[in-house]
Amino acid sequence: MELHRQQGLNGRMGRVLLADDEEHVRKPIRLSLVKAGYEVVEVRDGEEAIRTIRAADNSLMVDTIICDIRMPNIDGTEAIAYFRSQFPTVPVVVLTGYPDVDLAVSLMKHGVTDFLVKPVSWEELLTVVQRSVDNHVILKDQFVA
Amino acid sequence: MGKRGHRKVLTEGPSALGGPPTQVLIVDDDPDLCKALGDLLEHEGYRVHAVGRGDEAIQQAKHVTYGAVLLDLRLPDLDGQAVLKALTELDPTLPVIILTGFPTTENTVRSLVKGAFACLTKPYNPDVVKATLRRAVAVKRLAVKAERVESALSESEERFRSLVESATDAIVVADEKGHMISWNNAAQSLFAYSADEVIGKPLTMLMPLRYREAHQRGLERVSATGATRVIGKTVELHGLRRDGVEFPLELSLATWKTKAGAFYSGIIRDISERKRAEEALRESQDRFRQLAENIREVFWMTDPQKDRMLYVSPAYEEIWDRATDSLYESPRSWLDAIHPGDRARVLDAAVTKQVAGDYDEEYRVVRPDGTIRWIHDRAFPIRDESGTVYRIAGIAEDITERKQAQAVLRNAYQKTKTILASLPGAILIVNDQQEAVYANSLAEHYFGSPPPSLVGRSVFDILPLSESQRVTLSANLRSPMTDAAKHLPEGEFEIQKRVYWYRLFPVTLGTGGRRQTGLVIQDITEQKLLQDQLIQAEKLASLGTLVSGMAHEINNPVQGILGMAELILQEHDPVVIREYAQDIVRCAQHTGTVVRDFVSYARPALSTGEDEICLSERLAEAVKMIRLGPDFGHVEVVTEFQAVPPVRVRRGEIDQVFLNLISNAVQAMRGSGRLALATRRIEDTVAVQISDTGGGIPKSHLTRIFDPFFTTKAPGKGTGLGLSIVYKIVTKNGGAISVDSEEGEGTTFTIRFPTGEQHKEA
Repeated sequence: MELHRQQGLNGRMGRVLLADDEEHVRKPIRLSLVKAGYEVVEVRDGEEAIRTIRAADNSLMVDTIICDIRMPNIDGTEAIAYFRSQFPTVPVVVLTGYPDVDLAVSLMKHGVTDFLVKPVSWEELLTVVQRSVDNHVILKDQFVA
Repeated sequence: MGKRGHRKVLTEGPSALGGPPTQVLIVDDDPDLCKALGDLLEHEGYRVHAVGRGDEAIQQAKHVTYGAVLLDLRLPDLDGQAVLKALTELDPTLPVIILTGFPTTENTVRSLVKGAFACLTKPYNPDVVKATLRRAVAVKRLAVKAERVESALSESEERFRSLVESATDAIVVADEKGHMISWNNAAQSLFAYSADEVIGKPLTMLMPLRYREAHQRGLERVSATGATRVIGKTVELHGLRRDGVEFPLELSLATWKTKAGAFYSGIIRDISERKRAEEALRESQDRFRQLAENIREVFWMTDPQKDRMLYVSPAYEEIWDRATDSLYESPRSWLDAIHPGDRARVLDAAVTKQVAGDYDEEYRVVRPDGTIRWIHDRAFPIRDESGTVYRIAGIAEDITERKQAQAVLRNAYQKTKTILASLPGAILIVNDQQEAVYANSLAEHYFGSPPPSLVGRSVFDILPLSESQRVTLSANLRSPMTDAAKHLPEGEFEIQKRVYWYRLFPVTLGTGGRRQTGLVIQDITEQKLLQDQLIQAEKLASLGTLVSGMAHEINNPVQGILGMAELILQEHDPVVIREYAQDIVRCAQHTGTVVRDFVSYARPALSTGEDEICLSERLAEAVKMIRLGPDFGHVEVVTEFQAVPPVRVRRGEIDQVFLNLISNAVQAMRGSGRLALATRRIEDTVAVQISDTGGGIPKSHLTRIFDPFFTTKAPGKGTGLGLSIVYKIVTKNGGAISVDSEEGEGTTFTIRFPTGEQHKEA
């Protein structure tokens, strides 16, 4: 797990868990999100993702999970199933290179927020992440309140 | 004669006997006496001749036959006794009456001793002379008669003897005791006894033992009662030859009685030949009768006018179901029995062809119960010595069963012909010279242009094959085949861009028939096309899966490129920009590699034909592709590739097989397990093994996995064609595939292809 945050913004925009086994996928997304004011936690597979979210103080600490499907050990599908059952309030955005309609439908039914097929432009990704994080922040505030 | 005719009073005269007048010679030297005596005797009806000397009398007697002589003993030239002697020597029966003037006892006795008929004295008493002369003439006449009878008798006896001797029948005479007294030449040759051996011997020696007692009784009965059974009849008995051999004989027996007793004569004829001829005739007649009465055929005989039925054998009753008597009574009734539809033709043929000898007709007869029998009728003219036809003989046989069998056979033949003709496959039947003896219409249609018929042409002439196809077909035609063979030789060939599949089958002919081989040929051009399309479709489907994986593999670096590029757009620090650009280069290179690999794997083979393929290499390529896919997960790949010879297969098709099997294996392991790939040489084949450690295949499914459309995947997750196409491709390329699976343990597919060399020979 690697924690990345922009100096100055201090993560006030929200915290994103980025799960992808490929460094050259994670790197530009991380750089852009941090630059945009998000705090980014990077993991390389589903197993690490689950471990990370469970090790956190509480689930409210993660505002959005960006999750690849094809990953070693525990793959995205399995990990998402876990997230949706254990942390149903945390929005999950699927980012996959595998344009499988069946899989998309199945995951949407499980409550994922969005299903993005690589390659996605930064603008598109940012829109999805913003909306997702904002929704969670609102939800979180209500909980806190 | 007329003069004597009216002197009927002279009843005792010589004329009373009829015939010419009796001549009388008077020998006396006294002319007066001669004259007086002459007159006297002539008056009595004799013709008288008188001489005066002895020598004259002897001379006269030599020329004339006299009824009597009146002789004087005293003659001027000779002694009367000498004349008497000479005359009686000339004719012992000639009565000589002595007339003497000096009768002495001595002379009288001497004369009578010497044969004189009587002695009279002169002067003579005319009545005594007349009476004596009459007696003498009568005696002479008797003597002449006796002599004639005697001579006739001896002549007849002579004739009889020569007749008997020359007779071809044996003639045997026996006395009343049954002893033989006569034996002719024919008897000698018949019984092989000479006359010396049988004369005086009993007849029984000529007969077999069994007849002897009856013969003896017969003889006794005849001598006792005169009654006979066999006399005057002809009987057939057996004789016994000298060599003890019996032979049949015919005996005609006659008997006569004399003072010496009864005699029997038998005429015996050897009837062996006749018996044999009779026997032969009877046998021949028996044979004919047995033949005619026992054969299934009707033998018949008529006159040429067909007015009279001379003979018809009893089989007529069975076949026609009509009495033969009815045919004898009404010879034309045979026509009534003939089916109306055939009657006119048969009548016409009978009239015109029977005498000519070429009558040979088949027709139906209607039995009284209405059933129909088929008859084959033939007739032959029989000619007499002059060549005129005087009879017609014929044979009619019942051919109903044969007709029915023929009809059945014809039907079966028609049926077979129709079936063969309407089959969707072409049928060629070739003999052991590989010449076509039969071709159905489709065969003619496929290969028969231009006509004439394919029949008689060599199969290699009919099918213009390439050299290798020709060699294969020729070898197949020579291979031994039995009906029971499960795997009949089959193959494919291509003629004018059409693909044909053929299978050979043995044609069983009757015993001793030459071997024939059938070829079923189907045009599988369209089928081939469809199959290729199906294989292509399945290939596309599996490529679709690959493409999804490929997209992942490409989209990841593209994601990197896009992200980095977007960052560069906002970056001003050249060092950072350089770093990002290097990332982009790496990502782009990775993308290029993936695409190149994919393209090189999925590109259509340059040739659609067979190539020399290294199976290990194709396995490695396939697994490389599948690694790119989404399902591969953490599957461990273990390879064990031995040095194997190349095999001749279609590369594209084999890739599809491996892709399919490996991808199944990977899916079965759900992301983790061990995929084992192995190649090794086993005898003349290269064996490929693809093993997984997945869930295995249930036993109940194992036999069905190669069936088309058999799938355990959820609807929409698979066509169920994958493994059936794998099977099809493997067998099409001359290989064989088998599967071994244990539930919970994993599955192993084994594929064997013949090595290149072996494949060529096959």
